Amino acid sequence: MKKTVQELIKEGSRFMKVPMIVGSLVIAAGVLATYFFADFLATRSAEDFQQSTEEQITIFARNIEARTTEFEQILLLLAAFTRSMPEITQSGWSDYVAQSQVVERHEFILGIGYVDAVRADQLAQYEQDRQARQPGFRITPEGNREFYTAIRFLQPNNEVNQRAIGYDMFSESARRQAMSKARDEAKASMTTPVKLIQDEGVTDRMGVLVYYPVYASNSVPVSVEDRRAQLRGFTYIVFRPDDLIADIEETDSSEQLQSSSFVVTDTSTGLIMANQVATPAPRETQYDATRQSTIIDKQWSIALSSYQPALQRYTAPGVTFLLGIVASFAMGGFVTYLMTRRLIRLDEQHQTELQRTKDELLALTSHQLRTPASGVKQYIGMLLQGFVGALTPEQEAIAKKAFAANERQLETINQLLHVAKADADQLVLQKESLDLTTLTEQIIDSMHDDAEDHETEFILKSPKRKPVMIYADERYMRMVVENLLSNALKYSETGKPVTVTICERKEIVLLSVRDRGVGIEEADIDKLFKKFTRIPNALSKSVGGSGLGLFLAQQIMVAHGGDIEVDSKPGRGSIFTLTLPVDTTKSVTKEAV
Amino acid sequence: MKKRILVIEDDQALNDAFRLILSKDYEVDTAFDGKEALDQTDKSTYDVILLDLLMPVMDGKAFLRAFDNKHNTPIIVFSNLDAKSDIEEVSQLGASRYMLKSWASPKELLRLIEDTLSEA
Repeated sequence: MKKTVQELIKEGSRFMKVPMIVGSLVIAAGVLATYFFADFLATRSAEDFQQSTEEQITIFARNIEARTTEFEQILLLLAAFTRSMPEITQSGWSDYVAQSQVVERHEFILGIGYVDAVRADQLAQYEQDRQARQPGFRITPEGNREFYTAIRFLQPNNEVNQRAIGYDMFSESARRQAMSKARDEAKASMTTPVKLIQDEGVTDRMGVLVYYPVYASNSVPVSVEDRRAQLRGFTYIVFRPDDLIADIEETDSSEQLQSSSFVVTDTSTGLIMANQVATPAPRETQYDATRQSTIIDKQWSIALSSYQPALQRYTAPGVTFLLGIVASFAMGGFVTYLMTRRLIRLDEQHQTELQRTKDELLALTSHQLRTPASGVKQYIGMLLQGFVGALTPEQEAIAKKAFAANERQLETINQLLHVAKADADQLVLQKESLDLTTLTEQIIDSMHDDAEDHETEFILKSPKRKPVMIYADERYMRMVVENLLSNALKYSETGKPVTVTICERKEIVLLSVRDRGVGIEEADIDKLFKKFTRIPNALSKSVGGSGLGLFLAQQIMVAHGGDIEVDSKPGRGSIFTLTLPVDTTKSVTKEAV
Repeated sequence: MKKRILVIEDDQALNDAFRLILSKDYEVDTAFDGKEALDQTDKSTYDVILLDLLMPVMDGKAFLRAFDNKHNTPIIVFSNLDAKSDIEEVSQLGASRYMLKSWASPKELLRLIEDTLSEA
């Protein structure tokens, strides 16, 4: 029998409990694994960003160091240049500095200058000498000090820088510290951030100066005393640290730095040299890094905060999570599907096996039962049919009852066998063209005695002088009609006739059997044709009569492309109606035997 | 002279029953399986053979295959098997009639044999 989709689903759901649990476990495991993996990715993404922030600050510090290290080289060269010259002129200085192109290359450098060292006893002579060459030259600030320095040249020689000419940087403590250190250690030294003379009254921005000592002797004096005694002056570079950092940011750094916040401070004074405040976008994650960096001989501390956009941070974990969830559900569904399919197959195999075993058992049992019953039929038949002489009426009555009982038994065995076949969908029909009226007349004739026993009769109503042709297996049709008629007798009230009506409507042939008996409760009507597949019940009921017969009747009618219906009212009797397609073979109609 | 019938039936009760029914009008020999029946047909010829299908040692179909029917003896298969395939198979194997055991009463059996003999 073909199953509808709904039946299949219903059937499938019967097997889906365990697969659903397993599938759910697979989904749960998948989701859990996905969660941990996504979490791992999110952590790694954060770690990666932290690491990139660290890398960024490293590059940042390295860039500052690289630029400032260059200063020392430049100052060293300038020192050597000045020492080699007995007298340096403004133009000579300008040319030399211009040749180095340092200022051109580094916009953050305000100037490269040369400072004379002047002892107190040389002051008057020095100022006089300078004024001869640089009219208006004066050492500022004024006042009596043991030791003076004076800015002699500052390239580029522009208006702003000219303000610084003559300034005694040694008079200011931050500069003095750096100058003293450079002088004593014979290497470059840098100031902490200071206010520049050039900037006085112009800006509050800080500057930083790097000094390199110039000694009178050809070689660098060994002792500190000698270095102090031989000091001729300093070459120096003045620059703005914020410009330096802006330059780094502009030229060397990644976009990340530009969107980062950072503060560069001089460690010893805590003075802020560069400060960039970036406003993080909403839901950005902040990563901090700090670095101490040695610039020339000073410690600068760099604090940097970079911000990871939420999208960047959560894209990989998010996509992973979504894909993981989808994959988990797909996997779970697939596992459920596979398991369900497997279980259904196993069940089908089991059912088939069961059906086969049942059929074999039924077939075997039926054959085994039929043989002795056939023997009984032959022996009682011999008695009844006079093979051993005439019987007394009493003997004959008894033999007849025994014969009838044996016939019923044979009938039941037959039905059992056919039920087995119908269940296995193996009803093989040997169809031929039959006149249903003739067939029914024969059956009614053969049941005449039964009808008399019930003190009733059959009334056949059918089209006169016109055969009602069907295309059917005579044996099976006989079985069905006999079954309906014997049921009708069984449930009729004595004396009330059973009406059999045969008619043809369009393409359908109808045969209805009407009894005026006890009728059937509506609730029981559906049960009438129910399959008695559960053998113990089927057997016990079939012995009584109709149950097995009606099931078989329906199977047979369906196999013929027809059906069987019942209409009944309790207490008023029942009408069983057979429907069959009309015979369309159009072959030469053959009278039913 | 009475016509000769060979009844091949493994069930003792049925075998006896057939003999009882038929022996009034015919000379009846019996066999309980195909092998025994072949021995009988080797020794004598019969006018009709009544053959069961399900039997031990050699069943009815095997008998039909093994039996060399020189005299065109009509064979009535008398069995409880009613599948179309069985009926067709034994018909091809040379059986001339097929009768369901449980459907035939003694009188019907006699009539069947009379019919068969009159046709032969």
